[in-house]
Amino acid sequence: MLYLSLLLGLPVYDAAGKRVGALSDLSADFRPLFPRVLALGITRPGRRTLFVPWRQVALLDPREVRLTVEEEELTPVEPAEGEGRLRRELLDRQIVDRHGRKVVRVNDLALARTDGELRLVAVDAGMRGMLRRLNWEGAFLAVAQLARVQPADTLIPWNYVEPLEHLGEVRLRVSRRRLAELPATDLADIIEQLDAPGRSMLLDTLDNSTLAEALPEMEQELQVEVMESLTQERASDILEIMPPDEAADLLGDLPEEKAGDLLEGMEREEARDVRHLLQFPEDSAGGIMTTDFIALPEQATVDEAIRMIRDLAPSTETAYYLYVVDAEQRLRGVVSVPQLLISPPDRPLSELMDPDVVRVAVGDDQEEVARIISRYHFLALPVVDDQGRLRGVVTVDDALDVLRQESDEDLSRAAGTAFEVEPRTSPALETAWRMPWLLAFVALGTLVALLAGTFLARGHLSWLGAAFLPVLIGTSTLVGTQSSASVLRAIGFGEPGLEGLGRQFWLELVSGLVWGMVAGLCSGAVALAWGGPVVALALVLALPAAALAAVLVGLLLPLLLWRLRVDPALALRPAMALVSLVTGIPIYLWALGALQR
Amino acid sequence: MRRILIFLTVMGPGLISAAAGNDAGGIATYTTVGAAFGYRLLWLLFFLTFSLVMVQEMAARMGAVTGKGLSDLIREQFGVRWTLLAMFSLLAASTATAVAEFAGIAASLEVLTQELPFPLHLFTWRWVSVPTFALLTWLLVIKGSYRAIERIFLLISTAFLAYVAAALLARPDWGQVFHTMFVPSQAWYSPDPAWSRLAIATAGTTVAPWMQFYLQSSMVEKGVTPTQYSLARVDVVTGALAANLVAFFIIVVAAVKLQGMPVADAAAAARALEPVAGAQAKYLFAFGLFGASMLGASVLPLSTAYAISEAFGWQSGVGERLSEAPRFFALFTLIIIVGAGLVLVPGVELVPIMVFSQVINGTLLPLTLVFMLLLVNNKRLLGRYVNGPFYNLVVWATVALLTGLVVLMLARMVTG
Repeated sequence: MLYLSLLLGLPVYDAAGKRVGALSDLSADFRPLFPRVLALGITRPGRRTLFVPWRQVALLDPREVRLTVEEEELTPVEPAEGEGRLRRELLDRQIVDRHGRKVVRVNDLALARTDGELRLVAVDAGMRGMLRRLNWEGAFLAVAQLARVQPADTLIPWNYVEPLEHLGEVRLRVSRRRLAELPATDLADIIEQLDAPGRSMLLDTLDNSTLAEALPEMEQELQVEVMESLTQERASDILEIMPPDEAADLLGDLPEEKAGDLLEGMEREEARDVRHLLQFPEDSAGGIMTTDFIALPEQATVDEAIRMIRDLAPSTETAYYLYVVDAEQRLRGVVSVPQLLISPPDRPLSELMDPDVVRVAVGDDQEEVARIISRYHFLALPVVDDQGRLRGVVTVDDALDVLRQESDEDLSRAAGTAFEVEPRTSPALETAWRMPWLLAFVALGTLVALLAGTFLARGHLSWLGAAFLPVLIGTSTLVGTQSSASVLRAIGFGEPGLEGLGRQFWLELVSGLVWGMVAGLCSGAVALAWGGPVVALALVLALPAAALAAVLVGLLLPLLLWRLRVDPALALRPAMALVSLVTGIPIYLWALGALQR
Repeated sequence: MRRILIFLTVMGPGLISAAAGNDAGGIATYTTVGAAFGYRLLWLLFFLTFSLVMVQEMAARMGAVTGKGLSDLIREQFGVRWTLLAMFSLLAASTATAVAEFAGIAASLEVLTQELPFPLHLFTWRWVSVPTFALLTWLLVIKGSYRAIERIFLLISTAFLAYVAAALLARPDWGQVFHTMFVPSQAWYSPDPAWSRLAIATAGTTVAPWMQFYLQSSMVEKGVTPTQYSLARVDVVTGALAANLVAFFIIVVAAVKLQGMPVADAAAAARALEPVAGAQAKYLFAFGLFGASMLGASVLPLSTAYAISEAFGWQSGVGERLSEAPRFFALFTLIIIVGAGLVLVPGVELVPIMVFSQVINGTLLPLTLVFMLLLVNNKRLLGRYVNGPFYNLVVWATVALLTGLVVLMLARMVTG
């Protein structure tokens, strides 16, 4: 992939190695689905911009451009009808969705070489495109790697884009037809890459069955977001279309109240299936099974069975096996479809079924189920309750999901303990290891004591004011440690991505501030009752500020400790306590002093 | 009749941006200029009146002809790097101005609430008044009722028209005023280091960068077309003239009443209004200052957040949900928090910090003006609506003058 921003400004040399000028624009034919580059615009100092046809270009890479002929033999072209200039007419333009809402700007354009031609394939609307323009991409990626986050690359394929010349805007064109043709996984990828407004616009253009197929392919968080952005009626309709097990999975991830509302909105029969599945724990056989299966009585004939499959199979995941049950729905045997095809039409199923069915109970662990399916190469596995009644079927693709999920969990567990923490066994060593922290703490604590003492002696600090010092230290330490813990969790387990981390920061800041306010109001009330209005006001002002400072430090500290290769789990608490000594106390003392004046 | 209707729909942005020009920073700067240098910087104000009218007119014209905001045009014509520079300087200038607005709120409440009973009396403390009103401004804008509130603040800030009466009642020597203003002389310049600083502050508060972004976006938002544009021009020009006329009277009356006195707080600045309001001058002043500061504090963070979101193509608008326009809301909130927070730094004197914020505005102004000049002369964008030679001459001269003043100020800072 070539990026326009990396090409612009490149030196252009002719066949003789003489410098002709610098690349300043590309002109392309916009009629094909992916616009074809026709000519290179070259600026020469003091002369008009020259457009050189693509066929006279020998080499184009992120270092230089070489032409096939010498400067005198160039045959300049004039951009014609249907052609546009990528830099002048596309780069930096606003991208709007079909409702005219702003989405983002064209930060860069991605080009690709196909069969000796250069085509415009995508619009880069993401942060990385912008950083690339600033030449900061490399530096940023290095930092991102340190912080263990993956910067999002938001490429919008050109076929979803429609340039509007007269407005100078670029419109996202997401036609129903084109999107429905995409495989569900690709569609899910595209939905994942769009931001909120782009996404809601795209969801509007999808029909329910397309969306029902794409939903299970998305990340769990995104599924929830998508479901919450739809109207309740539409969400219920989509759940009806989805296979009951997938619908149940999705509902299980939603807040209980919302899930209940959606179930209410569904058709009775579909809702009953899903409710039934929801009662099983998520990681049990009952939690991953589907209720779409074919069950027939023992006395049914081969002919009846085939007719039944014809009627039902299109909507089932499990047309390969046919289960035989008795009057109480107890599982008696299994018949495979090939078996049916080679048997005489009037034979009853009881004569050709295999009565030895491998089965699992609804409460069995999903990993166990997945292992059985992969060991015996089953396409599906029946699930029975404690009375032996057939309740559902786990299909091979559900089992694959389970295996993938389990291995992800193992990986992230490994990532969380990626730290080399050597076990220290001797008490002497353990004491020695903790000594620096202890000493630093004592030193700083003494410093604070001296400071408070000086303030007391000079009358800047009353005994009442001093009495509340521990509240300051306690609150800062608590709030700071908690926000550190959440960042640690974010770094340690899984990759939250930049946006996730940002949201986390925001969340911590707000909750830290609220905590500080609550603590301030409570202790302020006490101080007021004690007869110290100034101390009360100082507490009300200083505690939120101290909490905010503690949160900020708490958020950045784990990243710093990580860089210093210190085990955050061990160092966090003492470090946080130290920091709260040097942030919380001075803020409080300063507020007291300012208010007394 | 139809023309009047069209005029009324088109009118407004020019008036508001001009009135917001005489905000906390403006009042503080003009008062300080009058107190420190008498009539000796009036020539600059006279020159800046032309600059202001022309620059505002350019912004309005670009909005009407291209249908795009200023940061939109900067991004499309100059690319990411220059946009980043322009937006950083806009953010810095706007945050500085926000500091002035919140300082204005603190200063006016100091006066207004000092004789009120206990709970309200707390508002004389800026650690109470500033956070409260910062939160209030934030809520006003987010909850969307601010259009109506904007009118009220605009109305309150007309209290500053009292300066016109005050100046007339103060009986300055008008002959001397106009002589100093129009006849070039040694008096125009002073080797005092405060001179270049206050000259820059005067320019920065008269022609503030954020006002141009606000004005051009308003034109686009109102859908003013090139044909209706002559009407919009009336709005812009009268607004600019009225604003600078008030500024003129403030400097004159401050020169008469406050000459040589330090202006540190609202009570000191308010003495300029004594000719018209006597002992009640400080309340009149504080009342007007409060309205002007609240107007600025609600328009400025919003319009800056709009402009920056526009440059980077982010979804923006107070009607959006937080999750749909997170960066817009973050910017808006950040300007308010930083602006209000800096006022709380201990030891800060309110009027001097208002003036200082305008020095920052004035220092960053040339950059915005150069962008505007390059854009407004682009034939591909404006066709026959590009600048005439007189316009170019005056605005480039403004850029040159300001740059000269900034160099002078920096040189003096370095040499001490």
